[in-house]
Amino acid sequence: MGDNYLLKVEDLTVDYKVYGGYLKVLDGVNFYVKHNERVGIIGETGCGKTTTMKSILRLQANNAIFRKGKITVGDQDILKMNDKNFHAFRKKGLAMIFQEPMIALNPVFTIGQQIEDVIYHASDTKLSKAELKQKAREVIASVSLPDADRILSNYPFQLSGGMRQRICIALAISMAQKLLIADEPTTALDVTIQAQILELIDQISKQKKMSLILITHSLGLTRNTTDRMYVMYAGSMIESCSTKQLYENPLHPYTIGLLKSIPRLTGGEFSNGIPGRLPDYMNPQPGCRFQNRCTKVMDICRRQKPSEIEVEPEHYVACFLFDQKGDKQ
Amino acid sequence: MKSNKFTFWKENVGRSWYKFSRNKLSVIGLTLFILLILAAILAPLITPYPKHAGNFVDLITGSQAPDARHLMGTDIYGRDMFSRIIFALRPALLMGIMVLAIVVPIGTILGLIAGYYKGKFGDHIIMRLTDVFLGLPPLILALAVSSILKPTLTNSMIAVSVAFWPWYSRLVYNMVISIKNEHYVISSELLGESRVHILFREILPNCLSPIFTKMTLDFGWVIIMTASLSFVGLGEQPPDPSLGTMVAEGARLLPDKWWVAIYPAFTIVLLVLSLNLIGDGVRDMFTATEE
Amino acid sequence: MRTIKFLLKRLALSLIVLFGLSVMIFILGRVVPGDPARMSLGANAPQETVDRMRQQMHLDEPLVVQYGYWFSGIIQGDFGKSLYTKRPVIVDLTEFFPATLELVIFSGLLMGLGGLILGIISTKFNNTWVDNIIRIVSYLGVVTPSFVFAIIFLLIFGYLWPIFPTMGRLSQYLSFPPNHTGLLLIDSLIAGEWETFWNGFSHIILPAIALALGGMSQEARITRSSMLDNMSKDYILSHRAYGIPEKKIFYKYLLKPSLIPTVTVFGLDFAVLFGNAFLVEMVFNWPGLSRYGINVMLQKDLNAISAVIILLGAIFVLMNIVTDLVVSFLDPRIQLAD
Repeated sequence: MGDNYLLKVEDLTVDYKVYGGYLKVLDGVNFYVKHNERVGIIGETGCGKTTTMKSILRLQANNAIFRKGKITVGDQDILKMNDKNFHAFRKKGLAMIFQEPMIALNPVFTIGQQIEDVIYHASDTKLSKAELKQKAREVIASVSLPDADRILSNYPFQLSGGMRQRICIALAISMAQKLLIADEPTTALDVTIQAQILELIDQISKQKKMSLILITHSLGLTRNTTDRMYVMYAGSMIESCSTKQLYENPLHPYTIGLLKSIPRLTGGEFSNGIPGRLPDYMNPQPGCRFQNRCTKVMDICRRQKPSEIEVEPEHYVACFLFDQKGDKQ
Repeated sequence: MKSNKFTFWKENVGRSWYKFSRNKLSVIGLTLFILLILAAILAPLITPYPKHAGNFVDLITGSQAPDARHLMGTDIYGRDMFSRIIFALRPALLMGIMVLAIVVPIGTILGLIAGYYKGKFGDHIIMRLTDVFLGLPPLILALAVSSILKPTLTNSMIAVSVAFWPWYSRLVYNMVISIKNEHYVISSELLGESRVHILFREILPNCLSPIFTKMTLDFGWVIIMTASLSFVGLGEQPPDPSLGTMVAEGARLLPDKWWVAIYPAFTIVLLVLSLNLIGDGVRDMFTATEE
Repeated sequence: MRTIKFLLKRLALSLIVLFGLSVMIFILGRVVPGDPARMSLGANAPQETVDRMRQQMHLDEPLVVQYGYWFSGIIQGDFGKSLYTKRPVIVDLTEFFPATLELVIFSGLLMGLGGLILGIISTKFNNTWVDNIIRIVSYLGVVTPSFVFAIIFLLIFGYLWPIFPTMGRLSQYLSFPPNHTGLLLIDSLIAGEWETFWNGFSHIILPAIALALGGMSQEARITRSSMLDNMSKDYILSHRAYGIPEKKIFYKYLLKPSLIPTVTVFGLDFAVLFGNAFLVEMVFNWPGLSRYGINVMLQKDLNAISAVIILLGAIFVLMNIVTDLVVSFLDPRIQLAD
């Protein structure tokens, strides 16, 4: 493992215990993020993106069970840390922006109280009240919100969705950290605001020299923001490559379907998306989890789980179509 | 067509029962309550001394501690406490049923009208009236009303009803003002459906689950309130057996003749407990769970 | 500024309620069969005296005018004479009310603090035996009427294990301290009479607990369920993600929003204490307003009944305003919303 890796997730397998059994939500997730790298993860709702991120931050739900796998940040295996160490580690290293700015802020405390508390606990030295306030103002200004004093005295419900998401970004960068995880940061926002927020995340992460993981289910958003992409489907990464490669030469049938489903302003045929739904997580069929929706499904797909194959340099895909050794029929 | 309807109904009942019975305590509560109802209905058959329910005096057997002949002892007049308690279940349960039968329709209809015509004259009249009745603790309101009436079972019923109806109109009112802006209500307004249809076929069915939940819980509170009225002497009068009166009589005989107060007191608790357990189950039944 | 406007609005609504209440009580008093003048003078009074009384009581005038006289009397504290004690009702109220107020305040403190602490403990130790015991006990607490608690306490602590007195406010051999507030515990502290204080304290403890247990259980249950509810909210996750220590999340960011339903129910329950005091005061022979209230109700002493009800209605309404204020302080959405 090179020193270059900031985050490395290996074979992460997580189940949810639910009434009547286990949902096998993460089925061996592999991915990495390098220092100063900007990585996009794309996949439809329910494919396990958020579960993966929550696992990295150890914010998983109570009924989540780690089966196997390893998450290393720097040179530390965070699944092996105790709560106290992890807490100290997390606030120095990792920050997350949530999907729903409406419910990610505490409704009964002012923005100021919430930001100042984050700054207070992130700081190594004990800050005075005035210093906290000053820092909070600076943070608000850095997310391009005008009139910091008014906003600090406001409650979340007095702000618009876009403003709230800016506050969440402010909270995230109030801590000194290396990796910013943005979990569908624009999904809950108006289309007109989406681009602004994305630009802000882009600009701030560059400014602060942070790595970025941008999770989304819409391909259009990641094109200009990310260096490298992962495509996630039903609990594992099925394709990974540079952003450029992904748009120019998608390999996995699922990725091809995803790209086709982007509506284009230039007209032409209108895609129908990908027929079918995500598989049953409780009793997944053996083999590839995409088999039932795949137009190029083969016999082996129903028997065996495909492993990652490097098709061209730095372009990995988990599909038997590209397995030269496998028995294609 | 008919069989379809039947299977639909059967499936619904099945699912509701599944949700209700997931909490074993609710099932215990329901069993207990059914047993208590059966005991009340069959009182003359299952009690050893049915005559003791009335105006019976046998001073020789007075104030006996519980033994094999008198499971729960006898009161100062020599009446079997067990028989009296079983008979006292009758007015208690009757009160619960009758008060709810009076209060729920009145409160619901007033709440429906006030909520649907929010901001209009009718709304102001109904809801200010509701506020006035909610302006006193319920027990005090019931005490006040029963104090000017003659102390009978019927009048207790009226007094308790006066204290309970505003809670239903408030509940339904709050639900209606949120429901009436739903698309299905607006669309049937646009379709020109009658007011009655909209109120009772579109809005009311969507208010039913909290009403039912509140009803099961309130059944217990009605019983407590009735017992409280008779405890202070403003409810049903002796010699008719009433749990509250028995506790009050027993309280004067403490500590030597503890059984006179304690058994009826525990019966009240048991009755209310069973109803609360059922209420929890009913709430589970109506709560949509992600499956 | 917003708070003042909010307060004024609430106050206006409360005045409407109080006015409605007075009308209701007036009407209740007039539907009672029998001639009020005759009732206040007794069956043997000569007809002329009754007629004079009727005129004095404005009984021959239209109902609206009668109400006007009655209401203006009440505003000035003139509730008429009690048939039961043969004294002006206002004198009775000032004598009996402090005892009830003391009992209810003491009980309310127990109820609020006890319920809150039990609820927090129950949440903290969610799904352990501690939680289970608190849940079972509070369930029983909710379904047991206060007068049943009262007689159980009477039996246990009055007779089987007599560690507390069970009758009245103060033992016979002690005399009341000089009256400042009417509250025995506070007056005795002011006077520095420790023995009186402890004696009064030991008298109040049983009725207060009997009165408090129901509400306390309810508070505990509501606090627990609202804390558990909020615990799975996204904002708790984000506090955690943004590096706030668990302890602070629990006692600050989780507790404050969770207190909203607790406070709302506390306000209601506190007012309900005045109602349940009617029963508990009877059992413990507590010389308070509620016991007085029961006696006048049994005697159909209309003037006294109206006075007691109006007083309790005013307290209830006041309590509602205080509750709304506290809730609006906890939940900014309420006062800033409109």
